[in-house]
Amino acid sequence: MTTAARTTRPRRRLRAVVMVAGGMLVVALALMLALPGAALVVVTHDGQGFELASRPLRDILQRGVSARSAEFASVRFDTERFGAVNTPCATATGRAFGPLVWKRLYNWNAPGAEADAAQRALACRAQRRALAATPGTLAAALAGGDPEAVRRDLHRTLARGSYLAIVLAEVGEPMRDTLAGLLLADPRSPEPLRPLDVALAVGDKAAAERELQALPAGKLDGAERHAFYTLGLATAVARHDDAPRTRDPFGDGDAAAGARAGGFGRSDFLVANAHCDAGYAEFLMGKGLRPTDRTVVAAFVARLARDTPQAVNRLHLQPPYADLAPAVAALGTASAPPAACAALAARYRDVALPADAIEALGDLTGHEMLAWYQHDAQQEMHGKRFATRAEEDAFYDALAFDQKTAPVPALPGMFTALLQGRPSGAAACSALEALPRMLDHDAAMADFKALAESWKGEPLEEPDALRTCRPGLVFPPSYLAQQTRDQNAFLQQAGIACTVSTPKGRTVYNQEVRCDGKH
Amino acid sequence: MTASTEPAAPSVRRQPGAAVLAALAMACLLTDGAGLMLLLGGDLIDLGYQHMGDLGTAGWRIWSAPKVLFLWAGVAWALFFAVLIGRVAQRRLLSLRRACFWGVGLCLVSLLVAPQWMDPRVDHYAGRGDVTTLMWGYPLFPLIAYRTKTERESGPSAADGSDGAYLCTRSRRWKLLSIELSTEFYPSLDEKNQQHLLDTRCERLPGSDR
Repeated sequence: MTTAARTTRPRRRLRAVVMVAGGMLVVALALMLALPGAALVVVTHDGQGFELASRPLRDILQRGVSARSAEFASVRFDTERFGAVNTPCATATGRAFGPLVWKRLYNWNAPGAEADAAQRALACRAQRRALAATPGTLAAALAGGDPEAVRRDLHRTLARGSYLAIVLAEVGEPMRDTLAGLLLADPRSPEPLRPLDVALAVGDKAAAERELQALPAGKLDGAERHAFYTLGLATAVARHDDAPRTRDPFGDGDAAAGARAGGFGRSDFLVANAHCDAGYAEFLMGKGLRPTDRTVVAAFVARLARDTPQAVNRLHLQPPYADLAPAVAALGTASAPPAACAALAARYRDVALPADAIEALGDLTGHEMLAWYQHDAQQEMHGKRFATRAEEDAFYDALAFDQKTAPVPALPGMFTALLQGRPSGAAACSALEALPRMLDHDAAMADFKALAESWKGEPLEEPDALRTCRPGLVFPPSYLAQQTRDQNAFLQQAGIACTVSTPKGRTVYNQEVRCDGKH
Repeated sequence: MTASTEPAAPSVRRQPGAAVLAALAMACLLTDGAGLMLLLGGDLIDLGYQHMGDLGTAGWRIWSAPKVLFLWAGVAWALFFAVLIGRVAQRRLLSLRRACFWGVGLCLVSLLVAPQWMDPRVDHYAGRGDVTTLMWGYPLFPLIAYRTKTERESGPSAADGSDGAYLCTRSRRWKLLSIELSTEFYPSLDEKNQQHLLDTRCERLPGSDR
């Protein structure tokens, strides 16, 4: 064997090994560019450590060669002083360069972390603030509140399908109000934001669709589905195969047959209610979803919660609807003009309403006015006792409703729109109960007059309900005569042969309805 | 005429068909061995394995050894045909040494890319709740990974009724391509040696009384 042969053989062998390794590397690189974010190296201790991942070619083209990002999750800190608090913390911070992403991973509740939970919560918060202040990030643009800057930075964020380093309360105006309206959330809420919400708020259709693709199924909120509909992207929601929601305020279950269609569910009527969006309700009905009596009552509760939040706390709905108030309050509401709410109620006109539901609706309608009234009255009345009837009347007269400054209420208009042209004993009784609280409000009384007018000549369903009707305690007492007069006018106008009368010599002024004629 | 003046003959002439024969022998041995092992129920091999109930306490367990042998036999048969075709075509593709090199190399590479259904696995029990596992056929990504997980353990009650708190490394995982080596450690399962294990292999948390 020559010396040349001796040296070339190991060299060839080496070349073969290098070629095999190189081939594997080329295949891995090709996979990296094609796959969405495959991890190459992961080193973690209790979830804390680093990760080197690949970046798909598409992402490099969309966001540029260099990018920064962070991923967030809600972390629970059990502090001694404040109890259990949930804070959005960074679970990963990433720097992308070319085809690689370098990620730092954090675990805020690692068992080895001996420091106090409160200290860890503060550290998490400080880190989040620092990240949000990093110039050029979407979070920094949001803190500035300028929609144009937000729109510009939206496509550069890497927090796809994840959370941003900013909570709603830290967003600057006017973006905060826009986002709060979209998410049906309180502007002070410590809710972490998603790039998806931001895309929807600035109306960037392309970014919204891209974020939707990155979102796991079932993570889309009802409020977000509504925003997609508003942007004209309802089909994108249908494509995003949506799993049933875990939180179902209706209780009767989205799983019921026909309760879900094309990514939308029956619970989406709640969002239509919250925005008083009649078009959305009609869109949902067009998808084959059917609103129920609970939907209708929820619409009234939502409006009441928006206009007079103090009334919802005192609201005691009867059992089939007792759980609606907390569910609606949890979902949140948006402001809407009364005319839009009346239009929404008109869409629900075909829904079959049991007597219980109609009674609840009247109760809610009355409550709205009463709440305005009582809010001031109860503050004043706190600890006060009246010696004479005249003193009590004087007190209420002083508090009398100012019909010029009072906002136009939404509920009487909704009540009218819903029950127009379908008179029933329960509806009439409900109207009689609600009416006394509207006496001083011209717009509300006009609504009731319109309702009575629409009932004229229509056959009355379930007249027996009216026979057993007991319009409630009159408030304030001095209005008794006026209220009886107006109630009778209402009945007469509606063509119902009944009269309201006040028993004499009673301290509790409860009225009776007498029906002796034919309807 | 002396040996030094004679030109060196090409090595292939001195070992006619050695690579072919070696590859064939290897392929036959591996195929027969795998078949025999499968017939004798060697899909799970216990070497000095002891257990209490479902929990292993000592020894080795090897899963899917025949499947691995079949995989290697496949590699050997492929090598045999490659060498044979090379000989028939009168082109020296592989010498014996090269054939050995490629044979061993491909067997190792085949382990890296072994399909998941083969599920080859080796367990080593060093004690109750202390097991080291070697597994193949994992997804390729992440290419390289190291993960540990620690958990709080409270020791057995001492004579004076006080408890010590320890921080133990519950699991360690190393991963290279599709091979994963992991250790799992549950000191509380070994009641007899628990205190000793906690003292030697865990970290005592400051502030815990004893």
